[in-house]
Amino acid sequence: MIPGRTFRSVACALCLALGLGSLIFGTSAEGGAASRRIDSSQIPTWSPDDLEFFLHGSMGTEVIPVRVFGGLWVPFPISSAVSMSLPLAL
Amino acid sequence: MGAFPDLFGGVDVAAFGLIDDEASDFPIGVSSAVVQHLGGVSAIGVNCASCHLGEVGLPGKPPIRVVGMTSHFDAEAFFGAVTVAMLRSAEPNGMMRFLKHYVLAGGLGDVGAVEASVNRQIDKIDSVVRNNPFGSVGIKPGQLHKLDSAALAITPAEVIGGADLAPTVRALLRTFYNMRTALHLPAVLPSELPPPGGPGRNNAFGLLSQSLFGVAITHAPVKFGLVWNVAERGWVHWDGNTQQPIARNLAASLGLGAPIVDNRALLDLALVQRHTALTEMIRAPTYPRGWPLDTAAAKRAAAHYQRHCAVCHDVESKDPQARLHNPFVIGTDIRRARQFDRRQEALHDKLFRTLRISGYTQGEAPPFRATGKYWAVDLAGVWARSPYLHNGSVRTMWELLSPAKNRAQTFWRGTSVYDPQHMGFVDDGSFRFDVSVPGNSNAGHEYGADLADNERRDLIEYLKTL
Repeated sequence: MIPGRTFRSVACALCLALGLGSLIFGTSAEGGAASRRIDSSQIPTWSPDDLEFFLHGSMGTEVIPVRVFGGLWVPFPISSAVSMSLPLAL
Repeated sequence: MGAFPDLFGGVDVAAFGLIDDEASDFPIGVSSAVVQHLGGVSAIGVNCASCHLGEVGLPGKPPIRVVGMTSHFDAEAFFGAVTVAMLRSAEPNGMMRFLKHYVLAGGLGDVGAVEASVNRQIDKIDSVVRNNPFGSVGIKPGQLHKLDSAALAITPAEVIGGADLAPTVRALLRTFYNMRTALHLPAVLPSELPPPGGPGRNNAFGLLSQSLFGVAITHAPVKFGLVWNVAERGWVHWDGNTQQPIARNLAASLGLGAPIVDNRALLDLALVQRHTALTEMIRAPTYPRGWPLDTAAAKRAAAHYQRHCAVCHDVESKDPQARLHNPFVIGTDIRRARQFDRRQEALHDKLFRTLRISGYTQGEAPPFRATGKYWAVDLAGVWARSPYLHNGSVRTMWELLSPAKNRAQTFWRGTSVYDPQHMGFVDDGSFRFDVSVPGNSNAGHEYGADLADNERRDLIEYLKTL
């Protein structure tokens, strides 16, 4: 399972501090998303905006209203969903 | 938690194999946009990255993320859960349950007070649902409702204050109708569903045929394709059936939530074009520095590679025929090769010839063809292609280079932990892959089966260098 955000942040910071960042983090397309651990040699011509678009850009498939999704499963962002702790009895 | 936690397996997005993005509110491959046909509200969808960005790492180490690699996203399970949840809400008890969570997802409010207010209107809600459970009253098939945005925007405070919930329930039922229409889904599911495909696979052309043309075809789940060096290929997909990159991605958009109304696709072509252009630039991943690699062994295996691999996998990839191979000769599961036949070719070509997409023209050559064969893929980045074969039925390269009778009959899928010795994911994860399930055969492709164990080990080291 995916570990918590805090753990990830600490782990990534440690990696960078130990000089391992160059092994796992990109350079040209990393921008503000260095912690995404993507090897930029795969995408040398992408800008940071290109990477962001690839990760989260629309291709016209948005089909689940965020609020409906929250009613069916879990509200976004996930972190707030966990903290809401709505009673399961509902 | 929402109304139907049993369908979704907890709050962690990893339940469906999505990768959390530390820098975003949404998992990797999830997009959001304001959608007019959903009432002008913000909605989520999936894009290329949900299926084509994966994680892989050595035991005990943080995984790296590989662009273009098959992910562990279980798209069919995810959309299946959403679909079943919508259908549950088409009966009064399910709507009552969903409505409470929907209201509370709209802002802060006292849970007990909202629940009590909704319960007070149970008879009214029951009546609205029974009169139009699937939201299909007053709309022609294939059309989309104009939704009551104000009713959808109801707040917990308004509900606690006694606001009439009937308009909201009507709007929600119509929202579900529009969602199903956008996904080209019927109101009632078939009585018999195919076996689950599991992480990183889907029956894309089977689902497209069923949803867009109403034609049921062979169930043939395949691994999400590897998206690197695709600009060097003339034809893509496991059977080499599609030659226009934009057609490939438009088909994906149409299958994942872009609606078709009056033979017109409701999507922004420029967005799909940008995704297409970006995917054409992705290069194959190199084997990570610092991971186990025996360079001497790799040198020893160059001849094995030429004899067992290069003859099919290193020929000209622009040639439309040179890499196609008869499945009866290869011996691998035949379903996918036979799934996209002449009828499918005609249906898909006609769709893209007649469908109106603002700005799109098909070009002179039809985008689709039926080959009945399998495409021998380029082996650059083959270290990151586990599990192997088009249907992902062989967990490691070691097994793929071994006689089929020695390959595992079942294994677990879904982990990102990598076994560099055997080249592939370790036998772990949330999904049990069974090769006896139709479409899952791990037979065939026994090239290299006559190698001695030490030669097989050497060849794996060589393949890491590609």
